[in-house]
Amino acid sequence: MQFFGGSDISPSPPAPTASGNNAHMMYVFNRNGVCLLYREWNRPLHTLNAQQDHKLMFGLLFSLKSLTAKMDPTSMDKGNLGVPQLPGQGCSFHSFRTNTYKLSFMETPSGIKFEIMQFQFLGRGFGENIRFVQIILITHPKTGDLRESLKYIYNLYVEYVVKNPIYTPGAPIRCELFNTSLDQYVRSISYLLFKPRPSGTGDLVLQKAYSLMLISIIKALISVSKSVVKNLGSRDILNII
Amino acid sequence: MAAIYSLYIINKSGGLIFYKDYGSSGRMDTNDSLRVASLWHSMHAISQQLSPTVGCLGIELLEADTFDLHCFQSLTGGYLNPFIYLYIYLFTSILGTKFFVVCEPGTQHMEGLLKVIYELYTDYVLKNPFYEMEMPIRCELFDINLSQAIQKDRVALLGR
Repeated sequence: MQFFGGSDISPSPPAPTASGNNAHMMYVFNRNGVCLLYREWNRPLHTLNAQQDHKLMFGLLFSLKSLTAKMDPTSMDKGNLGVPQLPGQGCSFHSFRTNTYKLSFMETPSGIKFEIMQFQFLGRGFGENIRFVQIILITHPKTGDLRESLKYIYNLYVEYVVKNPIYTPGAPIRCELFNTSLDQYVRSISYLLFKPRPSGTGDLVLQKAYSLMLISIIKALISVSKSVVKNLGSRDILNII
Repeated sequence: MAAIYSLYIINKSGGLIFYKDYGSSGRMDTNDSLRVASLWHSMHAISQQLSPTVGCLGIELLEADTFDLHCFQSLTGGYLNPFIYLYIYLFTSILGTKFFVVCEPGTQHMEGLLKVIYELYTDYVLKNPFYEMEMPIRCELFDINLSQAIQKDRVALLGR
């Protein structure tokens, strides 16, 4: 298994594919608002430069979290608006939808004890909680619930980035294996989960299956007829005729 | 049993002009509701800037752990012909008024209720000669009809 990142500084965006069209982009932020990963599959509109865009996105999520914590209609005791909250504390949100996109959001709670032991062992500093990330996936507005998919992406992050001994916490992720598996996964979910399927793809698959079936049936018929011809003498065939 | 927790109406500059609570346990005071409303206004605007494609009109639905927030912005539904845009440009005070309800997660048909509320707003608030634009709504008829509409929605929800 190769854990080492690519040589280039910014992860190269993959060529947009027809199947991956439903996922627009993805962000991974750490606790301090540093953008660890930005992946773009299909984004025709850029209103800001990359750094400003990441800042704005982090700010939006931060404010929405404090908004939802304050608005929570089920709890009596809520803090003041804008007081930063620990992950897992207070009411958070998991997605929002506009007419052009849907944003799915996941925040991992910090598992502190386990973390310190593991990273002490690996020779990393105390308190660097690199498991705490926010994963944001932006997709087509008609996408269903993506919470499970975000969990899977987080597992990919743990497998390929957290367990990577070369990776320095807080630095942008430059792990090729993570990027490729991420691309693959996002492409696969855009096949499975998205309601507006790319038109014609299903038909193509069916056509292929039908033609394969037809070929195998013809082959079987030919082999059966061959064996029949072998077993029967030429006189029998003549009799049959 | 409350399907709808609260209703907010904010004007085009983010000021809260109407707020009503329908029995949520964590009731907000006036200052907090004003803050939340203006915060929502700016979040709505930022979400338009972050869109990957053109033509984004802001957040329609926010799904939180314990509630859903449905937002409706006046005069933005579906295709509008260019003359309507001109009209909107000339009478911008109507554009940008946002209605949002906080309801139980997974509540259906909230868009319909928001449209009904919008109609009530146009009928009983905008057509009220004593109402000043962008100011807090204090119209008795609007209150009465609104509570009726919400009640009807609750009955419909129970019947479903």
